[in-house]
Amino acid sequence: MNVNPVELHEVSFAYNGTEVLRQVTLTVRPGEFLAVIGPNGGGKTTLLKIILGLLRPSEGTVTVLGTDPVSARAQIGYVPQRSAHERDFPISVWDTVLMGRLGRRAFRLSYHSDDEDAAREALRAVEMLDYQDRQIGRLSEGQRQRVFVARALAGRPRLLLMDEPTASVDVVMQAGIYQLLQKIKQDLTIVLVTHDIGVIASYVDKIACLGGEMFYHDSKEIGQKDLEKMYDCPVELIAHGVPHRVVREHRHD
Amino acid sequence: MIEALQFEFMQNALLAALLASVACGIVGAYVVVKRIVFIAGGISHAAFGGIGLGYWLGVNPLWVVTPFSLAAAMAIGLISRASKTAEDTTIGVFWALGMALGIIFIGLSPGYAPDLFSYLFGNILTVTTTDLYILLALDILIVLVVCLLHREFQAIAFDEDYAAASGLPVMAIYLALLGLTALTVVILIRIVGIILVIALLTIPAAVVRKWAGSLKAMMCAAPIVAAFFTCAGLVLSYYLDIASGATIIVVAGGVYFINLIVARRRGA
Repeated sequence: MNVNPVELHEVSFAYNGTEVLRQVTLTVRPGEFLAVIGPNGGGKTTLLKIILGLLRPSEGTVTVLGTDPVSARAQIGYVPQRSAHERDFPISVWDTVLMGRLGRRAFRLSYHSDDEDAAREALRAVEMLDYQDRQIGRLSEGQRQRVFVARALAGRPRLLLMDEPTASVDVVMQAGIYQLLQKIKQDLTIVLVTHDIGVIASYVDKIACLGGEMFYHDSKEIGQKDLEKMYDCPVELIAHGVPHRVVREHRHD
Repeated sequence: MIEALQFEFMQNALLAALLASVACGIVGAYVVVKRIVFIAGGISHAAFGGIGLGYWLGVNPLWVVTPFSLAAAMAIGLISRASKTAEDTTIGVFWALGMALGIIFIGLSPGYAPDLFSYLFGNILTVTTTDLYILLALDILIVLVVCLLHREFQAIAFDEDYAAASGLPVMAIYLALLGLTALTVVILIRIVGIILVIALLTIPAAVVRKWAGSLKAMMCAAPIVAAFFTCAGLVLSYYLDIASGATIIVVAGGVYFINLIVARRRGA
């Protein structure tokens, strides 16, 4: 049980000859809430897909929950990046959340009562149980995001991976989603990636910066040097929470 | 109309229309939400190769076109995914290659191919009792597969990456869906012909999508809409003495645009 949920060792990945990740080493410990930040195109989604086993690294080793990524899938909850396509897909909240059970119950004629219990529990955790019959297109962005978190939780995962969970959600809703994550976190390890570095610091335990290479920190404090290496333009980072830290906007001379 | 129903060809035509409506409504719902309309088009045109092969071998083309369409569907699916070529490129290749093979096979066949035209544009009035049994068997197969795999099809239509991440064999499910599409194409070729297949595969599902809140609701309503299109088109073509397949599509197209306007007014 005390195995590290995610262990990446010198992982590199190239897409059509373009190097996306270079020698990334990352350890996520049990119960941690890690935010991976970095610019768009910095390889954040690629990193998640490697942890999920959807992509194979060209070099390096990946261990997830003590095994290989594909075998670990049943214990991973995944909240993918949002697409416009899903907004008008004809499906109810309830059926969407049940999808989170499909991995363990594929090719059976119906869902088991366990599956329905898990779905109900997950919807209750994100406070969306009252909306179970609503078509997902008729929810607000924030509500829809909660439903996708519930879908990931319905599989009763040990590791939760989230890709830009607060993109296209307004600031109030963002805070709501982070508060929700804090609430459900208890015995869950969470890795989320985001290019939105404004809000996260007060909620997460650790921050890693990814811009092709990994600049990983065992704390929430990010050195300005790292930011300069990662982003080529001025970056404003406000890290409030404990420990308190504010990084000034830096200027190129 | 009552006196028209006394003719066996008219009874067969109506039965064929109803059988086809079941398949195209159900599978059409997947085709529309999964956005594989042009794969369906590619399969139906590639199927012409199977029809030509049937003539050349001297058997009922429906027997040959079924495995031929299935093979074309698998090939389009596998090649577009495995070779990293764009899907539409692969579709284009099979679309034309199937038609070309059909033309060559028919050229090699002795004599004149009498109802070639009916495979291109459909002729529901020449449906035989044997054809009806084949259509019924295909319908049963399609409904069975959908009952077994609906949730898996829904999952890959919704988000393939998520489905893969949750451990589903996405490629196998995708190929099964293309296989169902191929079977439906075979059924529809008899009704409206190769060239018009995609209209009947997409319009009923597209019409009900504006109103349905779930894929299941779409799959229940689309066959009814499809049955209306095929029966209304059939009756109109009988009285106006015009091509049945084309009339069915014109009715469907008309309803499609009326539905768009109504849905827009209602804000759906």
